[in-house]
Amino acid sequence: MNDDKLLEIKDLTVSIKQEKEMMPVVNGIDITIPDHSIIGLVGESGCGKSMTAKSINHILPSFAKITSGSMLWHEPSGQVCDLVTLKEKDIRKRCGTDVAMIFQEPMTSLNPLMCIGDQIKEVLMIHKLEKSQDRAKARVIEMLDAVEIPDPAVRYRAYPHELSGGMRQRAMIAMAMIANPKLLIADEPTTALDVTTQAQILDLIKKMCETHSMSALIITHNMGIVSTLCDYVYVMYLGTIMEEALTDELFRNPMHPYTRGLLSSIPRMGDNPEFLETLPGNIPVNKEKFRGCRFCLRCSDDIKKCFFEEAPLHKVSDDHYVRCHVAAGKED
Amino acid sequence: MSGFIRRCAGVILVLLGVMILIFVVLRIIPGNPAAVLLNEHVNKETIERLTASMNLDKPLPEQFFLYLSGALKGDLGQSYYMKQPVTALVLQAFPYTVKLTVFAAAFAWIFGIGVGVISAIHHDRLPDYLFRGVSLLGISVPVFMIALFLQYLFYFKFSLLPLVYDGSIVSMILPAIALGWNSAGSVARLTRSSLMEQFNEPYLDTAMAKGLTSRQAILSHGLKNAMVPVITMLALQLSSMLSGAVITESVFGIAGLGKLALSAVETRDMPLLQGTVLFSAFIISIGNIISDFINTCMDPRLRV
Repeated sequence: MNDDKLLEIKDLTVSIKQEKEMMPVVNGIDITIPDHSIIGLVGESGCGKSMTAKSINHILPSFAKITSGSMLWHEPSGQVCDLVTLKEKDIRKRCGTDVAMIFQEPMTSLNPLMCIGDQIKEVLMIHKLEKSQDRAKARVIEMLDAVEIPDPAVRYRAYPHELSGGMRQRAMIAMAMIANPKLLIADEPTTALDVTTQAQILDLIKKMCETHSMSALIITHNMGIVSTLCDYVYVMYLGTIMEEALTDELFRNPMHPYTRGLLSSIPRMGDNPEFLETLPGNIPVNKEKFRGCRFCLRCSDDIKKCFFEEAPLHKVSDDHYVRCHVAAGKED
Repeated sequence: MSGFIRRCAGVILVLLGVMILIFVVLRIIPGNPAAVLLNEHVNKETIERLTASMNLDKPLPEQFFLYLSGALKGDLGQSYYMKQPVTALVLQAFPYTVKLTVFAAAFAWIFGIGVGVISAIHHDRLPDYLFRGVSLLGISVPVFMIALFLQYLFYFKFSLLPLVYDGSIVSMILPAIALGWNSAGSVARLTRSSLMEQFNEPYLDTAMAKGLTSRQAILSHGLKNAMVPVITMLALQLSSMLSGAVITESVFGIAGLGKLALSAVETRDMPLLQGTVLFSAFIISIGNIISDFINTCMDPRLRV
């Protein structure tokens, strides 16, 4: 992993408006994305991982708002810029060129009335990266070729509904990559695809990160994706980071009961097929402010302390942190 | 292409149905048109002679066949009252209706789409409440009320515009607003709801992630998608306006199709009424085909 930081998210809180009250869904999280690295953000549906992603380029839905925290963007020149405080006009200048994003559903994420080539070309036109339409079109076709879309010159004129899910996601990746961004945010990039296509898309993302020396933030609920793709992983539960570690370290030595639960939920060949390990219970509805550990209601080895006091982020090693009273106690 | 042929065959069936329906309805109404035409104090022989010359003494199937074979040749019969070929009368009236429609549609669309977009962008804030009130008025107030109100306001009160149509463009303003008012209201409401449906579509997030501001994303990507149902509605409105606006044309004295149909009803002029109704049905059918065609151009998913 690289020590040069690209984006530092510090104490980020995102709240949603609920019956005139602001309810935090992301609770003061810290995430650091170094240069040239792939970071994973893992958690169940509704834990706030998409909200975190959308807050970076200010595309949160209208009922959600960043209520505190900062997102420090480190320019290559050494300048630091807080993305949270940027006005819409200024953040839009960075979208596509500094931070690009791909989404879960490649069908609905593309405008159904525009051919994919024109949608990709739009990035170049918005940011005035290319003055001539013909040059821009040529660049788009080059990019379509780079994301391994066969027959790129013909596919330029294809509409989203004429392409398969995998091809659409490739088109989305081409759109994200065309302006050479420094950070790619991928929000569940393969959830809507079938398994064979998933592997190809993940390979493509990895290849793009290497060839364009770009960082990526991969948001997923799939531990398998994390293990093949990511250098460093953040495990998120109900808006809080529960554990973070280098990928190898996390898989070798998961310390938080939630991480262990996620890992043991992956079905393996040769295991007892009649019994699939799951986490007990559901994500609780985050109604009132709870002082204790967010996971204690579903935890198998909770102690009394867990109900009254949220655990601090405990340092296990330089590359491993965990937020759990029990795990921290074991360590001592 | 086969779809187009199917649509044309459909139009022919619809027109045939309309012909049968209007033919039967007009014959069910009691009273001899010849007697009405000659008024009651003429002797029986004269009435019978006229009845025979109008083919009204023949059996109904034969009458219909005569009418149909004439219509296929473009001859819709002779107007009883005006003593002129119906086809000529309809073609004379049509340009006035076209003129009125063009102005009314332009007003309805510019006003309706504009108000709808502003309402959607500022939804649930003051401009939206204001415009929603206006468009509700647009839908619910009947045309003759609007027409009379406009005449009162712009002629009697401020004398800015002429009372009735006199051939000048200025005198077309009030009729156009009166006729377009209702459509403007419904276009505004449909535009608003259709555009607001797009707000939650993920492709707007994509557009913003590309670097468009939220307003640019809504106006360039969202509006195009939102326009698909609106265009269908516009085309339908256009063809119904083109088929004659009875009330507007009467109030403002425009010699269009609507007025022609109204006078045909008043004088029990069967060929003329049949002719205008048939012509309207034709225009509406063509309008439907055109609206399908425009939708197919806009939405590639409809192209098979």
